[in-house]
Amino acid sequence: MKLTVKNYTKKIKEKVILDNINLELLNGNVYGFYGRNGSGKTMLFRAISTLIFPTTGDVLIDGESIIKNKYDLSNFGVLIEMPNFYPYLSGFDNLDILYRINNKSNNQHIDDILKKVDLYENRNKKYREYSLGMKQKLRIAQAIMENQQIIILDEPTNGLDEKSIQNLHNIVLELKKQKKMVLLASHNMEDLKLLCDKIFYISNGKLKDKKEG
Amino acid sequence: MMRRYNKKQLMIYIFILVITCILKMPYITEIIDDYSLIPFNIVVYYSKNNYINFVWLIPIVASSFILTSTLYYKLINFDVRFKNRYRYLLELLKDNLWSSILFALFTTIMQWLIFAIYFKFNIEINEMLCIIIIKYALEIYLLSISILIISLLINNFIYSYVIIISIIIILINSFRVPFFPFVNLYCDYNINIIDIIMVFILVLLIKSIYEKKDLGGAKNEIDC
Repeated sequence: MKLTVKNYTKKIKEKVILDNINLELLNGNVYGFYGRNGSGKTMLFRAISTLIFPTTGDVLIDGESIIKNKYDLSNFGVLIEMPNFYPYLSGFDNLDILYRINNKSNNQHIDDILKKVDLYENRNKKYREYSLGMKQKLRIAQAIMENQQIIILDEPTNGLDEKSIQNLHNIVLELKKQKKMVLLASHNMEDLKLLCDKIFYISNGKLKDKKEG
Repeated sequence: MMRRYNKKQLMIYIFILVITCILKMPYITEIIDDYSLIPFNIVVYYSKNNYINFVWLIPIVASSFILTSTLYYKLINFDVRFKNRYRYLLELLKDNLWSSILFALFTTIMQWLIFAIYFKFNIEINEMLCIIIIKYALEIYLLSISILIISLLINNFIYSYVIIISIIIILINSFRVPFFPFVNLYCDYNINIIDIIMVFILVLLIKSIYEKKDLGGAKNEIDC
C-alpha cells in the first residue's frame, strides 16, 4: 500500500496552512512528523484523513484519489484530538459502539484491546470519570482495534505516564511488524527517533526530511 | 447502530413536556370546541393570545433543539469508520428521521394521555391522531435540517437555531400563508406536499455543503 500526498496546499482565509506538501509513504513503516505547536502537523493529518480538503493538490492511495472519489476510509485508524466518545458510557461500551459500526459485536476482542492499552481494569468506568491519560489510552484503542492498515496518531503520548508511553512504543512496533503504515506526530524527538523509519520536520506548513533510520 | 440521546436529555424533555401540559391546563377546555380535533389541538394550536402560542410552541422548540444539536455535533465529528462522508451523512439523516418520528409520537401520545386522563376524554386511536403524528414528525424534521444547513454554513449551532426559530415565529405570527412549511401545521389538517419537497431540496443542499466542508481546525470550532 502506498500513500501519496501530491502538491498539497491548504489556505484558510488566504493564510497558507500547508504549503505544497509532497509525501510518499509505504506500509510496514513508521513515519514521524516533528514540529512545534501550530507548525501544521495536525493539519497535515487532517488532510490525509480527508477531514479538510486541499486548495490545490491531492491525496492518493495506490494511485487512487481519496478526495475526489467516494473512497472507503474505514482502513484508517485515526487519533486526531476529536472527542468521539460518549461521556455517560463506559470505556468498553464506547469501543463497542464504534466496533459495531462495521463488525459484529465481539466482547473478547474489545477486552483484548483494552488490555493492550492497559485500560482493562477501568473498562466499566464511565468515560467522563477517566483521567486525561485514560482518555488518551481509549483514543489509541479505537484507532487500532479494527486491524486498520493506516494508523494516524497525532500526539499519542499526550497525558500518558512513562509506563504507558513505553507500552505505546510496544504497540507501534507491533503494528510495524504487522506491515501497517503508522504516522506519528509529536514534539518529542526522542520518541520519534526511537520508533520511526523516517522523520519529517514541519515548520510553518512546510515539510522537510529530518532523518532516515 | 448509533447511540442517539442520553438519559439526561430525555429526562429534561419529559420534564419540559410535563411543565407544558401544566401550562396548557387552564386553556385546554376553552380552545377545544370540536371533540374530533382533540388530539390535534392538544399538540398544535394557534390563538390570538401570544402567551398561548408560546406555550404550545415549547415542545417543538425543545425537541428540535435536542434533535439538531445532537445531529450537528455528530456531523462535525466525522468518523472514518463510516467509509466516506456521503455514507455518514446518509446514516445520520436517516437516524434523525427516525428520531423525529419517535419524538412526534412520544410528544403527541404523552400530552394526549395526560389530558385524556385529567379531563376524562375517551382514549382512542383515530385518524386525526395519526395525521398529527405524521405532520408533527415532518415539521420537526424540516425544522431540524433547516437549522442544520445554517449551522453548517456559519459553523455555529446556537446562532443558527436562534435564527431559524425567530423566522418560524415571524412566519407563524405575521405571514400566515397556509402552504408555507411549518405555518401549515397551524393552518390545515392535511399533510403538506411543500414540506416533503422542501425536505428533499434541503437534504440535497446539506449533502453538497457537507461533502466539501472542512472539519476541525480553527475555522470550525464546536459551539454546541
